[in-house]
Amino acid sequence: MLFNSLHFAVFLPIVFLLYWFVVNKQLKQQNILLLLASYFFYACWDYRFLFLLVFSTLLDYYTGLKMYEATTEKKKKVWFWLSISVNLGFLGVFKYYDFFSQSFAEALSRLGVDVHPWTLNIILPVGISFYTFHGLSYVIDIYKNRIKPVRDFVEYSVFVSFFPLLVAGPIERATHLLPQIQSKRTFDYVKAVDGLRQIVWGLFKKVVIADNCAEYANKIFNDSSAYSGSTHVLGALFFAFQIYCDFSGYSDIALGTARLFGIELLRNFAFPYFSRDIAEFWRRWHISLSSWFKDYVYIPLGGSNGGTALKIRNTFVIFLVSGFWHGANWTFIVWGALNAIYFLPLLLLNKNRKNIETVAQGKYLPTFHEFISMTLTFGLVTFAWIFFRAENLSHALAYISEMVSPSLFTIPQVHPMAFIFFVVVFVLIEWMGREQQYAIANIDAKCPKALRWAFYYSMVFAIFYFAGSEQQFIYFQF
Amino acid sequence: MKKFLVYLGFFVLPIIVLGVVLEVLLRNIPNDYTYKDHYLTRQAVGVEVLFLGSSHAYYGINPVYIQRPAFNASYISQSLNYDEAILKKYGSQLPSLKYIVVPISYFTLFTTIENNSESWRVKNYVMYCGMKTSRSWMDHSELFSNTLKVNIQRIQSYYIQHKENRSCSDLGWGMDYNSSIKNNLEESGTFAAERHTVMDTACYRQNRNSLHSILTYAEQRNIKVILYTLPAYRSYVEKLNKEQLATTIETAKQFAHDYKNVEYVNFMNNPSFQQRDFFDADHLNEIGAEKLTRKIDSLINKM
Repeated sequence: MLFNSLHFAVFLPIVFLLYWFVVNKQLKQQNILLLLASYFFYACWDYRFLFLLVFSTLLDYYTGLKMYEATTEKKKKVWFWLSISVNLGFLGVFKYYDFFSQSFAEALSRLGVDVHPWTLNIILPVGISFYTFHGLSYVIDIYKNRIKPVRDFVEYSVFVSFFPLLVAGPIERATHLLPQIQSKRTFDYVKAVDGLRQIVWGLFKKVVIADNCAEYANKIFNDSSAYSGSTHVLGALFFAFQIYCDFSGYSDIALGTARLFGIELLRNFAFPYFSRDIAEFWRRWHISLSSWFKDYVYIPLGGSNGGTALKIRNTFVIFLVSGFWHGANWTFIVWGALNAIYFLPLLLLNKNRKNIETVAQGKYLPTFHEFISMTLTFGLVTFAWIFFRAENLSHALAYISEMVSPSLFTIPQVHPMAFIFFVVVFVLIEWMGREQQYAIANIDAKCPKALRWAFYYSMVFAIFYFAGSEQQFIYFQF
Repeated sequence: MKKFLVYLGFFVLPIIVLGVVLEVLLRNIPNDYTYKDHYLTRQAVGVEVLFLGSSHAYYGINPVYIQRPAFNASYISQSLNYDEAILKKYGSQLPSLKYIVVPISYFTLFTTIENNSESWRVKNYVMYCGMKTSRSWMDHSELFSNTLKVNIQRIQSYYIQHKENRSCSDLGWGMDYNSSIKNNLEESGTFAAERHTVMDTACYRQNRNSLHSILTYAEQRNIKVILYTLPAYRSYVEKLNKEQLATTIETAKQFAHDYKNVEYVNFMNNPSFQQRDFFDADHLNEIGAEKLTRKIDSLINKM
């Protein structure tokens, strides 16, 4: 079930009304309803993989308890590694097996040995990377004695499977989400209105901006040899906005939906395209994944506390793993490596925490220096997106080589001026709301009611006007 | 909570009202489905020849060239399960029916309307022909089965610009061929052949059953059936998958052999159809349609 589908538009109000009117008296019942709704939500995609989700949940729940009850360190370690290996094993089989077997066969064929690898050719269960990471963080936190295990299976299951975050995050932490699941939720008018507003904003980003950008980006990337360098630049820009509005739009809908049920999820995006350097970009893009990697990979490896060589190694490890997490393709690995290369100078010069605050705080416009920094950062990020979007490395390289050819100085063959105007207006709205949780979060305080409602109706109209194709969210494939 | 629901109600109400108004307006736009439903329900008592099938028959058969009273009930992407449904729904309104003519195109046995990109057309059979072929609630609404952009254009075209929305002739022949690559016979051949190549065995079984059902229905009522493969341009024929094509033709021949009331004729490579007879590589234009319809007419007269 997609967030941008009519099925979800029916599903959500039903669950909402049952939650606040039928099972509102008891926490246990509220959690059971959320769990059933979440399993139904997941089963609508493919009920067979629901068993995998339930198994993964059971495994982590049980190993969590066993680790806590273990009388010796050795026993605790056994349960810990059992959970880690099964979780990563599932991820490896479903997501990476074909990639490794084919890469191995290709490497052997270069040495003159022909092998025909056995491939699984199975579809990737939606959300496996996300719920596996939920489970891993829970198990690691118990192992490290940061948290105690949950005794109530329903509570733990809701933590893993809560439908707004189930298929594409944000990747939650037990320390943040579990206490909310364990305490009684009461209806809050302000939060509910804010949730609805964030849902509408997320839908607008997805349906109006991302899906239209996708149309042009796909056209240019799928037939890139037919287009000039300047059109390639435009294609990369369209993809940059597509992936941002697609994923941050999804996160907005997820956060807004959770808020309707009285639950606050981790913020996942903080206007990343207004970043002044790559380090700031990575503090603002897919925040829940970046912080997961920081806490569970980077810091255990030594973080930035060691010597220069260690810093370089750890930076590359975290970015390469992050690239690989996105998919079993060399393009993602190069994308990760490229970001590591962007990031390293800042780390080595100790300038990676230079831009912590929101750009041009309290001002209408950035300074000239800030503007140049933002433009450069956006350019670097967009360049890296080419690898992320390309079918394979040779496609990416061919795409880039056309970009730096003389055809860069020609008029683009694709120039949807009306839509580009729409994107510019969208960027302006984002700029004006960059100090809020999401761009229109503060509209209540800034606009009179009539204007506000007119704005909401305009957004709803635009969503319906462009809706129809129910395009998948990009991050579902990860 | 009460305040939230009241405000939400106030916000949503105009959207719902507007939606209902749009739905009513859209449903009242006459279209080919309502016309054909009306014709088959009220004016078809004398019809002796009924043409079924997809766009190939819709554009390729013009009943004015049939000497007996005839009607073309085919439509774009109409698959065999809908041919069967049409026959069963309107059969009792056709007491004079003596011939049923069904095209067996390259894709006929391997696709159904539900499993291709034209599945949005299912709602037309549900809403305008009263068929219970879909349980999806989206197929019971114009508003939900098209984008708002398309729906607004349709309302504007019919109610404001007063443009005719029906595109078939009085006898059901399609007159509005509207493909972006029409007349480009080379390009359209490659494109259509690629699109039509789908060796889907589940669909094949389903379509065989539908065809069996149509032929049995006809046999029980003493109705003769002509199965035919339409002429196609070289660029299309050359790109077809040989296995799928052979399976199609062999299956049609087998049916013609198994049923006494059935004849099969293959016009695919018929030399009398030339470049000037085609809209695109797999659709006949009005000249080709006249030629093919006259050939079928002479077949009917010989049966």
